[in-house]
Amino acid sequence: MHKILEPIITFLFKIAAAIVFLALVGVIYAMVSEGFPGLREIGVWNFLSGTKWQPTNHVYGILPMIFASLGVTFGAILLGVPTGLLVAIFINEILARRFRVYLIGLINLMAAIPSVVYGFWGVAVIVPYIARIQLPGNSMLAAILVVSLMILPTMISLTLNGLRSVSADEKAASLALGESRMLTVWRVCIPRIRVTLQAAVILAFGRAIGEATAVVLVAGNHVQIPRSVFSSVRTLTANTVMEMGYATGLHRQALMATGLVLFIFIILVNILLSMLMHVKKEK
Amino acid sequence: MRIRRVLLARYRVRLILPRLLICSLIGLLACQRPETGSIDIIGSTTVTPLMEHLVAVYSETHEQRFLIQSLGSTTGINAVRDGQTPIGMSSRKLTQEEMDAGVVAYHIATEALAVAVNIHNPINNLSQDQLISIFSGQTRNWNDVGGVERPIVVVSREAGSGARTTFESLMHLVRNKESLIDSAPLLIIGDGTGQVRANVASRFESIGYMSLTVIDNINVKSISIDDVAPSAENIQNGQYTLQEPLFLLLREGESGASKDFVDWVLSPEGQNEVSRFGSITVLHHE
Repeated sequence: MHKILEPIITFLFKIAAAIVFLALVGVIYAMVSEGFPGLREIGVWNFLSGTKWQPTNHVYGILPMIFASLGVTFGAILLGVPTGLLVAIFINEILARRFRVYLIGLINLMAAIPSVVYGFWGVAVIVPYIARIQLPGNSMLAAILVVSLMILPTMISLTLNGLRSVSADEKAASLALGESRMLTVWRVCIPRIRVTLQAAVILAFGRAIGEATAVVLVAGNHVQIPRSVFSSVRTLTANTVMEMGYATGLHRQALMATGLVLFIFIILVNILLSMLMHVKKEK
Repeated sequence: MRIRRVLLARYRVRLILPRLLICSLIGLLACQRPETGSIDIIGSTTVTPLMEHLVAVYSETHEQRFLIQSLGSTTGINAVRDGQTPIGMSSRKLTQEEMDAGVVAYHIATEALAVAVNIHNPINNLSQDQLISIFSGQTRNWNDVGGVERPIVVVSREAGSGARTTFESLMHLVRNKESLIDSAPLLIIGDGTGQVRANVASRFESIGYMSLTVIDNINVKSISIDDVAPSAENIQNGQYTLQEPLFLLLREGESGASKDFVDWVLSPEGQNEVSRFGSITVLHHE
């Protein structure tokens, strides 16, 4: 009986892996097959540097939205990555063991909350606060705050797993040599989990640049180059979500090209981060 | 004894479980209703509240289910044109291209397109020129139009919105096919009627446009334009000119349950429900 089952199950695993691979290929194919012709017709330079987005006039320039997406993403990373790192260190080193499971449960819950709920919370709590400082309230800052909250659980879980995997012997050695607890973490644990941190940051970046639902609710959606963090902005993803429903022809191709641009951004950032990490290692 | 033990052990899962699964599957399939499936109605967020009311009333006397999806006028028109849905909703007139593609619009009601401000805003009336100036970003502070000293935050709909198209064309806010609303300095674009209303309700300095029926007078209020209030009488006697026509869309030559529903909405009974909801009927218009 086992003789028959073994190849069947192996085959099923192979099929599952193939489906995942094919899905990725399918997504890339859709983006490229509609995005490339669009880029050719609009002109890559016009597309990337144009400051006006007017589908009715067939004017497609995404520069303001590129600024918005990058601003929101890097702002969220700047806020979320250090915070996530520190929370993970807190859970692993400072928090009493018996509370650990509750806090981790809370963080998993945060990861499970749908984006639109974060968006609602942003609209109800964050936006009015910002409006008191500077109108209109729906702004890049609001998007940054909401998105940084959304990438926290990813950051914390991955870093925590990494910290746990640091060999207890190394930590004990460092402590025995007289190093204080916190500096042990800083000088021993963190460098050991460099690769894990890199993976966590890339994942967080992907989540941050890809967030659309929450951003549409709090960012303001005005297509303009942001003058400050308080400006109403529209990210590339929010634009796609808002217009894909009715876009046809060149407009639709332009939106697919937007997806292509996002995809290339993520690949570039991945490469950049890998290079940064390798340089540090060699030092 | 041995048979009994065997039956209770290994073969239990093998025999019973798959048969149980198949039986429940067949049972579930059999539970399907024998009548027609539900009909999708896709389109304008402005028409949606009225449509929900009409569908609820229609379902009481007819065996037909509907699924309403609020995705925006242009989305609805395209969905009907491409055959993705039998019925669409729109709050703007069809373009020649859309009509040539075989979409037919049935005018079922008219609603006042109201300009709304926050309930705490002391302004209750603005002239058309003042409104054009506000929405195009030239007037930037409430005290320039008689209000308090606060910047004006303009809330608009997205580009594919029927309400926006209707508003811009009636207020002459389009120049060279470019929308002047996009030059407002403090601009929030809400994805759908609900978001526009939420943005006006939550912020004192906001001004936006939406159909009169969604104004609840609890968080937002409508203002008069040139001293003409947006009411049913003012629409019917033609004084309030900011009107949104509400359309149900079908494809040319459509018949069957979808056509029956549209005919019902246009019948005296359906039009009665339209005015009960608060919109203006087309029957009274002539």
